[in-house]
Amino acid sequence: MSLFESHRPGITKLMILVLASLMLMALDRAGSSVAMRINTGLGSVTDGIARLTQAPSLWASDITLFFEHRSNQVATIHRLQEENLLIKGQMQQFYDLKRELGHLKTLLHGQTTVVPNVLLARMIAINDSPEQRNFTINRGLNDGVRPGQPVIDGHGIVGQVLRSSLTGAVVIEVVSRKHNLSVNLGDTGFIGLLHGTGTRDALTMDRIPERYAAKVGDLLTTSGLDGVFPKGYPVARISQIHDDRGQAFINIVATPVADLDHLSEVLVLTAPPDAPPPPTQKTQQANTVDQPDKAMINAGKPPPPTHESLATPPTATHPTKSPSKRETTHAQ
Amino acid sequence: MRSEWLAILLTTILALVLTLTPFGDWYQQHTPQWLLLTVLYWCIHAPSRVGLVYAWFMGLLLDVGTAGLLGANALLFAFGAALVLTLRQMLSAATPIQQALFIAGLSTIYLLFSLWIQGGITSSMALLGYLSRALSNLIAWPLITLVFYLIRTRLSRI
Repeated sequence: MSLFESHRPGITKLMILVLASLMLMALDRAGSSVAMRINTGLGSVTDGIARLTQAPSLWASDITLFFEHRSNQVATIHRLQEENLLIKGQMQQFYDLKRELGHLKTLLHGQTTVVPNVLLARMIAINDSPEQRNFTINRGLNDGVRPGQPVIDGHGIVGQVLRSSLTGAVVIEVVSRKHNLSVNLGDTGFIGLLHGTGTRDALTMDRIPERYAAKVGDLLTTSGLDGVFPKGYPVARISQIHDDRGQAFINIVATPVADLDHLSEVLVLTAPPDAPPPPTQKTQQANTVDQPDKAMINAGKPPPPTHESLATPPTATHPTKSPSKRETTHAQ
Repeated sequence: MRSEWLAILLTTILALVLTLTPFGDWYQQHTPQWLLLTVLYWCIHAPSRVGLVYAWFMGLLLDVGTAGLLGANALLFAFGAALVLTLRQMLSAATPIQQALFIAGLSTIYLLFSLWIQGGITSSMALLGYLSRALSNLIAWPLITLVFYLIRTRLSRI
């Protein structure tokens, strides 16, 4: 319409905007609360849009469920009932083990494991970049989802909450290039950092001393030392070991156990048991007394294999924990 | 007048939806930058309404939506819009294909700068895969011109 009018942009305006973005970048890198607030505020808009676009597909699945044949529904109910009974049966053993383990742990260093609170969330958007793999879930601040909370699926650790808004939250996956977490190397007692590589099926762990005999197929579980992920959750399985003759170290490539390719629903641990408690005066004091000796016990693990073998059973039963929570409330 | 605002708002939301909806890995990697194309389109066709501030704000929205570094896309959106606004008279006289070539060139530089801000990538194959989005932009631009033109004319009639 106005071809001959020149709408040349003002250089002052451009400079102001450039300065504003540079300042925002600096604030974001520094982790300031202003950047956090902008993220939460605008995030509510984008997460809301993502949620709206996801709504029709949810309606569609509801409608197909409604029109599904009666016999199919009955078959599903029967299958679920059988599964439920099976899980309940297995859980009985779990309760016993848990009691025993709690007893042993109190004997060891005065700490018992707590079953965490879990929240079921549905994935509503993917927002990947070369640096990090993210996805958005449909639970936000209102449901108690906060940045830093661990996210798992039926098999193992998926990632952690990066930011949370009123309408949703963004989760960063463990395979992101930016993501590191502290893990136990199988039964060897070695604790190290597991890095993401940016590809879906590879995590790396470098410079493990050769005396820890790691094998292909060993399970890496969270160590609980990072204060974010609770101890003992499965993360990945070793798929390759790079053994360089000249070095006294080995490097490991592992595949995540969580089914990252087919995620549709995930669980958020809204009250992770091993996470550091909120910094009030009382807990702060308790923390300074508790934390060092816990760290020493965890770090000084290599020699006694007996301790490890005691700690492994719960890792195997952990994935079934989510239904267990509800079962306990029903049973009592 | 009001219809143009309506068209701008509608197309922006459409672009956000196309950016955020999960359609699978392949789509995620090679999709055109819908929001950038929308902003540039309106910079060419409605410069009295859509300017630097709008572009900057949309960039910020994209940053938040993709959980990237806050302000990175906002900066590049503002620069892209400034360039397009400066060259607007030349661009609006050009054919959509010529415009598309210009936009693809601009978005290649955009993507390289964005990569630089984010902190680099290792292998050259991954870089080529990453830049494929510029090619998608080249293909998407004529399509966007057509669809947005239709939306604009339909809405200006009511």
